[in-house]
Amino acid sequence: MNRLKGKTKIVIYFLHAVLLAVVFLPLIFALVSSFRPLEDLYKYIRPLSIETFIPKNFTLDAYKDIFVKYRFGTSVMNSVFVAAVTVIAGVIVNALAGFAFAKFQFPCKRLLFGIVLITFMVPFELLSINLYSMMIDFGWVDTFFALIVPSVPNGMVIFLFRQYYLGFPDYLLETAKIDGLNWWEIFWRVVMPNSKAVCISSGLVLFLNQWESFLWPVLVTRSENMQTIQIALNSFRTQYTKEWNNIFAASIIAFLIPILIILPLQKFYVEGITSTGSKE
Amino acid sequence: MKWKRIAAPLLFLTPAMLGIMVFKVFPILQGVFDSFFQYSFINQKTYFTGFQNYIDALTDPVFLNSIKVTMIFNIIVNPLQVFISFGLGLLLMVKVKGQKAFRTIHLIPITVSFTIACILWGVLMNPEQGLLNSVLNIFGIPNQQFLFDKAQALPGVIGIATWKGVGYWALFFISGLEEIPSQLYEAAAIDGSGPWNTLLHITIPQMKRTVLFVVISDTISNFLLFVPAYILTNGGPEGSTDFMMFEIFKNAYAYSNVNLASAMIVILLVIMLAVVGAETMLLGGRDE
Repeated sequence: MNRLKGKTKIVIYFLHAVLLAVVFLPLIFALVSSFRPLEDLYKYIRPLSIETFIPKNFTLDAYKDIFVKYRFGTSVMNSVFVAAVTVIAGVIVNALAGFAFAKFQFPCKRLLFGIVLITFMVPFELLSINLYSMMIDFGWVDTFFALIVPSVPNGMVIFLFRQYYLGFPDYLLETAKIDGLNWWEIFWRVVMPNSKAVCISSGLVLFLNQWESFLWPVLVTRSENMQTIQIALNSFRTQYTKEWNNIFAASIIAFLIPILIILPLQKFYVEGITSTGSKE
Repeated sequence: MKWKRIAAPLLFLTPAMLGIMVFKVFPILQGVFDSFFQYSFINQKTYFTGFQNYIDALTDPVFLNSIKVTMIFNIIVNPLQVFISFGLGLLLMVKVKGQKAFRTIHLIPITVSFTIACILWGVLMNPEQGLLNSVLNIFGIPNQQFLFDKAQALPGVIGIATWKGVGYWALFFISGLEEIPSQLYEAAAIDGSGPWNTLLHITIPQMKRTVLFVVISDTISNFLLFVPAYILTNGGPEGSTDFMMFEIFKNAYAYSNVNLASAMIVILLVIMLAVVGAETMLLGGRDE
């Protein structure tokens, strides 16, 4: 694009400012409110003033409360654990399948890939009823198995990997075969080390899916010890209705943790999508 | 020899395909199967009832209303999200000072979950003590009821969904826009093409596949929207935000009518696929 004239530049900055205000005002409000004592929470909302956005009596009580009194840490750890295991297992399992669909010839390939695409179109929420009774049959209700295992095989991620591996140079594979490696070794020593971007973007898809999932944990968790972060958030809202500063503090934590993971990987995320998914 | 050729694909495919068969394909088939049966609590037996569940669902005014709500929601929210996130993508492509920082900052909200978005906006839209009303008061607008008003609740949810979704979809647009060869722009500049012309004749045609991908993915996720009704509105007031997915959830778990819920899921799926098919045809995705 060309260099911009002064007027256009002002318009661009103005648009940025408006968008940022709309996007961040609620988040800033939540952040500020989480630092207020409960009795101050609604004091400064109207009329609107500078104090609406600066906590007058700064306190960390809300954070202390949720971690000490309501054991929010357990939920955070649950979500981190569930998401981490899903990402690791999901990247490996789906990468293997994606590679097979891209580089191997075998019977029923089209049929099997068709099935993968259909499951990509039929999301988790719609399967939940029968999946839930399956979890009861398996005895997995209220265990990590129910939260993790059904989320590992993922049609969209298989698709992302297949698209990436379709463009994977064959000569690298041929050279490795001549060196006497079998496919398993080739996959781990040649293919995976060259799949960083697609692994990271797939990993983020899997991570965000798990981090944000709400309906499934509502169904398959019972005890407080098994609550994931979103469920804990919602139970703050339903059980301790009055303590909004706690809810804000919990929201801030639930949203900051993934940011700390995503921001350093931002470059890869955009690259990974570019080289795979949306382009076919 | 033949075994050896099958061994590698088998090894690579089995974990994922086994999972897909057990956790995806089986529940789909089971759901379709269940939709043709009905459990009788009196006889404690399951009977084949043919299309009765479908007839029941499609003659139930509550479910019909939820179809209407879901359709209205989707007709508004999908174009809105795609339009704004495409605009945001373009805006973030413009080279100005701080472009990198802007990209990072706009990326941050994609980690806000729907649960958080709903809880936050629920507070902001509080009719008595909400920040949004304070802002409106500045412009001389009196307090609004927002989610407690029959006419404002659905637009409110549309606003929340848009606020939450735009950054995520913009990410796909940015990576698509990055891929357009810069020679095309240079050629257009030499031909003296203005910014609007360039956008219309180069950028948009080049972005066709990305647009189609985002439109379809966005449609699927919005058809399954459930959290705002569950957390904020409970489907109300007067059914104005009663989404299909919320009705299905209620029928399956609150009223324990799994068979009816299964039929409703099949109906939802058919409608969703029809919409996705129509979008694909409209956006000319088949000539690839």
